[in-house]
Amino acid sequence: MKTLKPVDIVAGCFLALLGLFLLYASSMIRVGVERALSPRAFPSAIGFLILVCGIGLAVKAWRFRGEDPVIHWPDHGGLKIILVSLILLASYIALMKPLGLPLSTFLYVTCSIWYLKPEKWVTAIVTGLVVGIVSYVVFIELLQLSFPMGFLFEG
Amino acid sequence: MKKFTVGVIVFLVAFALAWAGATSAADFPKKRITYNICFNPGGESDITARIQEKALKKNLGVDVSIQYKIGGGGALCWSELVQTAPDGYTIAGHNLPHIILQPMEMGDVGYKTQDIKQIYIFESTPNVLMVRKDSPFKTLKDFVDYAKKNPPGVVTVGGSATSSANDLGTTMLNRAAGIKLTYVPFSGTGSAVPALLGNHVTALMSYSPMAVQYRDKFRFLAIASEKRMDIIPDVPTFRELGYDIVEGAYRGVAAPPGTPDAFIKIIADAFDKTMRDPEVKKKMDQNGFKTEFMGPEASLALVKKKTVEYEAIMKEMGRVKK
Amino acid sequence: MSFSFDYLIQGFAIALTWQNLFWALMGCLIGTLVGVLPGIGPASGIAILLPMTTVLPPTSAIIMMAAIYYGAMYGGSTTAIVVNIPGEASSVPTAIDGYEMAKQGKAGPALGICAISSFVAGTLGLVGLTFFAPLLADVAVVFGPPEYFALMFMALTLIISLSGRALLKGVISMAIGLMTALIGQDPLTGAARLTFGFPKLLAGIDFISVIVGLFAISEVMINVELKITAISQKITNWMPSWADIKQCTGAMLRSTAVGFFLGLLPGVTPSVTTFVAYDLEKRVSKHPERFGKGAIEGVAAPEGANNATSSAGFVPLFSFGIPTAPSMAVLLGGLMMYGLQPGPMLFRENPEFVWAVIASMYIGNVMLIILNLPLVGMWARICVIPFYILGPLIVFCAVLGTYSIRFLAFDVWVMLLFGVIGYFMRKLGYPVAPMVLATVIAQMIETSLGQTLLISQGSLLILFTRPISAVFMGLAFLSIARGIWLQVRLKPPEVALEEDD
Repeated sequence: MKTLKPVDIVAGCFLALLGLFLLYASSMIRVGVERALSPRAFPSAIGFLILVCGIGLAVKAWRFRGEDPVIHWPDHGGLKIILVSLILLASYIALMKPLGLPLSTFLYVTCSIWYLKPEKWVTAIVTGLVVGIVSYVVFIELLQLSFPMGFLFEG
Repeated sequence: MKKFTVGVIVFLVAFALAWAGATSAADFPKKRITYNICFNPGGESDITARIQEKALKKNLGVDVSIQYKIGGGGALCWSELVQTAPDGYTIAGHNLPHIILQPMEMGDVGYKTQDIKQIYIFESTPNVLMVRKDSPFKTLKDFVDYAKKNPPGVVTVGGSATSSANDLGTTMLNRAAGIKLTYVPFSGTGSAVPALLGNHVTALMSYSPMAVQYRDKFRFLAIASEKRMDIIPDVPTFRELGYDIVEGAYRGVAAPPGTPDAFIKIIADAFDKTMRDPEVKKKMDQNGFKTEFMGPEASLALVKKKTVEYEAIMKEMGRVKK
Repeated sequence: MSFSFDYLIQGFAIALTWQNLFWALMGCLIGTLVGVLPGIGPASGIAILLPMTTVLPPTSAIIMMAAIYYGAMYGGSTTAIVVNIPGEASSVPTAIDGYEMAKQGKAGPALGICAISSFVAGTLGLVGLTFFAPLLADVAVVFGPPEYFALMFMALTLIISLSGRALLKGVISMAIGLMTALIGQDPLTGAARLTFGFPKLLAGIDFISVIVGLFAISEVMINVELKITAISQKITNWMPSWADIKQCTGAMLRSTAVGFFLGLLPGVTPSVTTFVAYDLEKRVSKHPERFGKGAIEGVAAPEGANNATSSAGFVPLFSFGIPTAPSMAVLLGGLMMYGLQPGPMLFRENPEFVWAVIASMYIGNVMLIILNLPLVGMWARICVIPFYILGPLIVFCAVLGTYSIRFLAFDVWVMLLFGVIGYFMRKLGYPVAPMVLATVIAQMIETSLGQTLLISQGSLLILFTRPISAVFMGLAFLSIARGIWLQVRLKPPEVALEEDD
């Protein structure tokens, strides 16, 4: 799907489904004491709004007869970079608790810089070190915020 | 070869970096403790925490960082508390009857009453019914008569949160006087007071500290305690006026379930010392708080007792299914 | 609280000693650094640093705390402009045009006008506070639940102008923002909503993680995809020119007025007023299409509103003893540690403290501009750092800041998710700003509607019978009508082109 028109139609349908889903989820909300504004009111209203907008979007795109703008999706190389970056980020988040903040930060920063520019691996390691140490010194020691330290130290 | 060297360096550095201080269980507390407040700034929970802050830091030996987690009438804060790591470094203020009534009335609110691990209960504040100084109601009788003469629900009473002492107090008044007041919940006393100041609600069912603070702006129709409070001697009790209503909020601190009892004791002792500190006591009295000194066991006993009490009332008033 | 020259002069005398000036400076520095991190706003900043202030004499401590507060406000805008990470919700409108300017090499002027606008608005706001506090206090309580709802509703209709030609997509963006804010507990009853039995979701989704994801992470993704070498290739200007400043005078004054008067209301935080001020500027501008592409007024306006609101927030504090935001309460807590009781009595019985605080706020403002204008060059240079280094650093800051909101890994995952969502939104032409505004005010809208209905016994008519709320509702409907009319007239494809209206 390289142009906006088909994407909008698909998006519209998806949103309409989302709206329906929201309406369904709202009906499951437990209502306690009877009050003027039920906890179900807002979610239902928004679900309805999304449903209507989704349908509107799909219909509008379907009927559109003008010049269809092209979407600038990333090329093969770009896509690869994005995916790897996302995986690195996800790993960073996942490893933060077990490995602790300083260590996971060091690994993330080093690997990311290295991936983006493989020839500058020295810069990668040095920056990673600095950031890792800074994160430890400033945030854990100095400000005493409760960031995880990792399995090696938390018993 | 280059890749191998890099790998070794990374490994060594990683190991070196991971070398940092450990947190040993024996010397608790070792770093700052976070004290979460579940209601708006300016409300009773906030004011009490500020009064305690200095002495608490001294008695605990570490810094105490007061944070706000506002929402759901306290439910947000407590549901988060039961999910927080039980390492002793996070405590939260808790309120009775809130922590009993919320799960009872609403079912799944993210925590169960028994999951909230009691550390200490340090104060209580009876409910006070108040109106503006320029309001036509001079006594409780005026107020009740007005409510009886007008269509049910027209008279609005603001208060802090749902399933709170304010809410319960209003319900009790409805029951005792045979009227139907509409209770309007605000996210905390801090936002309920402006509503009365601006005349958006007819009255407030709030707590005794507000009576002290707003002495010159509001008129107090009755207080829901057994005896009149020294700091506001001319406010009659509900009992004196013929309505057997004794209710208010108890406030204390709690920890996530599973927090080691040893840590709980350390924190409880610190709070106990704090509440006995003459400066703290003085400020508490001046501000309209009644100081309590209940350690972990006493607090738990109170919670259990009140749970039984409230269950009975709620079932009778139809707010909870039998 | 009445005005008295004697007290004010006394206050300045206290505030202008070398000692206090030094602590004010420290406060500004620390505050700025703290504010730069997303997730750590003025409230957390002061709370964290409060222990350090206890070793000081009371007046110096107050001065330092006020300085930290102002400094943190400024820090958030810096990262918004330079790397598109709004430090707080209130920095989001600043990021819209500020970051565009940074990409064009004009980070210097953007940062400079930030400082200048903040200074002007902050000072004017303080003047308003000094002379008119007693009068203004009564304004603050005139707003009850119906007025709040009407005001918030009007604020939502602002998204119409923020969406440009893509009205429908703007509404969708807003609706999804509202939906996200609903997840968790109902603000009035605590009932679990949209959690599907996952206890983790009960705490709801914090809007900072949404904002950081939508702005910082998605931006990094786009830059990485396009293999950008740096955010801007070259710094073209270092400071705003006199012409720039002149161009922004109107914006500065208007945003100060808007920010100040709205900021008098308890609960109306800078996050809301900055959006309102930004929209106002766009509407009165002769070339609204420039907004979103680096219009300097688009930076001056939110910054002015930001500081004006902060000053105005002190009015309910001084007159009723009610802190209007967590940051105020922390300041108040600091005062309490020195033996002062909160409440309306406080400022009647201890006027010298009030005036010392006010005097120190004037000083804090001056400090910040003296401190930050020279530093503009340093901050602006960040844009030129090669992206293969800067990108991961930005992500590090984003992760750190997001985690530090509630110390839940959940929030960071949310940030990642919204980073991906934001990426798609940009590709497919969905405006981001409406989603942000919706997340920020969703809770207030629902709560005030609930309270309104209780007061009116279930009738919505009350919104139209009370004069103030009627005015806001009227403005809201006008806005909606205009938006629809424009759509019908122009029949554009559904792409958000921020410059068109």
